[in-house]
Amino acid sequence: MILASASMHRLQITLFALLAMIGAESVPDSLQYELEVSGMVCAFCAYNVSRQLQSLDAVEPRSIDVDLTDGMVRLRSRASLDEGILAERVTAAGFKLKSVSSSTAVPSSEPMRATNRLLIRLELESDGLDRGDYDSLLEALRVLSVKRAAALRVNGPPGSEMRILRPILMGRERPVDVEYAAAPVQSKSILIEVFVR
Amino acid sequence: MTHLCRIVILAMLLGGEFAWSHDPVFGQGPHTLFKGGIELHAGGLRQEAGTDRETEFGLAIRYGITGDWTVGMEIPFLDVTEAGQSVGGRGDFVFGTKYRFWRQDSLGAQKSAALIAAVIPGGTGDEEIGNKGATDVYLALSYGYEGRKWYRWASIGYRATNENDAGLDRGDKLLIDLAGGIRFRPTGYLEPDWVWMLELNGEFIDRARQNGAGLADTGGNLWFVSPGLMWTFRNYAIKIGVQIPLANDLRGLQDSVDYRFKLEFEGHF
Repeated sequence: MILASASMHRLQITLFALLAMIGAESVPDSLQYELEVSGMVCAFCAYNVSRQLQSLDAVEPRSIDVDLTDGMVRLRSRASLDEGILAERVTAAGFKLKSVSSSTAVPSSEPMRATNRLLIRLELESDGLDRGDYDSLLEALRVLSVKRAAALRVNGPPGSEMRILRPILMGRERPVDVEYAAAPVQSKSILIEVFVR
Repeated sequence: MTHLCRIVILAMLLGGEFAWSHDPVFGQGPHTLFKGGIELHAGGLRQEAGTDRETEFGLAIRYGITGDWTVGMEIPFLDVTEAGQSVGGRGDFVFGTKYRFWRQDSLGAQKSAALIAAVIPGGTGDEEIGNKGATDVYLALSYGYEGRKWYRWASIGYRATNENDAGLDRGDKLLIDLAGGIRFRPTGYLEPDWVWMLELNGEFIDRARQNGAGLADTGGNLWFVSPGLMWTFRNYAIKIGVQIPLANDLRGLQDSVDYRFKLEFEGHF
């Protein structure tokens, strides 16, 4: 994309930053729950539990994350959930609720990985970014992301957010959850992860 | 009753023995459906015995009344060829239920046991196919252990028959099944999941009777070893398996079963 002028450039960056903030998943204060569920063995089981918990009005459906390795179900809720009702829903799914813990969730733009899967992970050197070595690669990520990306997570040098995110997100056709974490100053690497539903 | 109709009625491999996801391909397991869930199921079975062919196809819908109790119905379709003659059509409806009466949950594992019951009212199928005037009843008890890596199941079932309007009683059937399964790589929630299974299936079939008199060349015992695969992704599953004859003791002159092949699709909503 060729920029007409420096002022147009600044306007586009401003607009882009605004769009990035709007596109990022911004979650109001809510409660984070961790449920220890016994009996879950496979994805079928996890789906059953997820379906039952989604039906609770206060639960944010996209926040439900089932970890089969430790039997934990993590979710966010806009309101306090009664433990008895949670136990009832887990029983209705065909399993047993062992324990529940809750905490105040930190407002976050973290990508909703519960329903997303990692499509691509790239690790680049930040020196190459400055030299323009990755321009065509970022363009390729843009083509990939414009229709499919549901979330984007980047770990990169401080101050490089726009330099990395803009080429990837420009022209996207759907909201994308964006998380940019600034790596330590001495870090020379950039990690880019693209998630799809 | 024509000879061909009698053949069809004596066949009827699928009806009554409800198959469920996360249960063995051919045997019974204790898995149920979540409360309020709906299961849609389509499955097919193919048997060859000498020059005889039989193909069954079933459509089923089930509903989870609770997390441990499911009800449903199945509509079978058959196509049977014996001695060069063929007949086909819709078979009698099957109404069934499964109640999981015992469950022990632990981290990454579940043991459970369930009772399965089904009723097959004769005459609800096409006239050439249905078993009008007779109602079969099926009862089974199943046990299962499901783990992140290993599975095992055991079940015993009995199908009781009685005489239809044409005086034919196809003969009661006892089914015994043992199965083991392995998930070589434990998978996460959003990953396709593969469970490989091996079953030992036994069938003990009484002699059929026509107006009270035993029919020659009917009934007997069969044993199969059955490798199978269960593939699931989120709320969809595919099961496939083949029964390979291990031993049989069939009465009179009957062709031994060469194989049975089964393929099933299932979705939970």
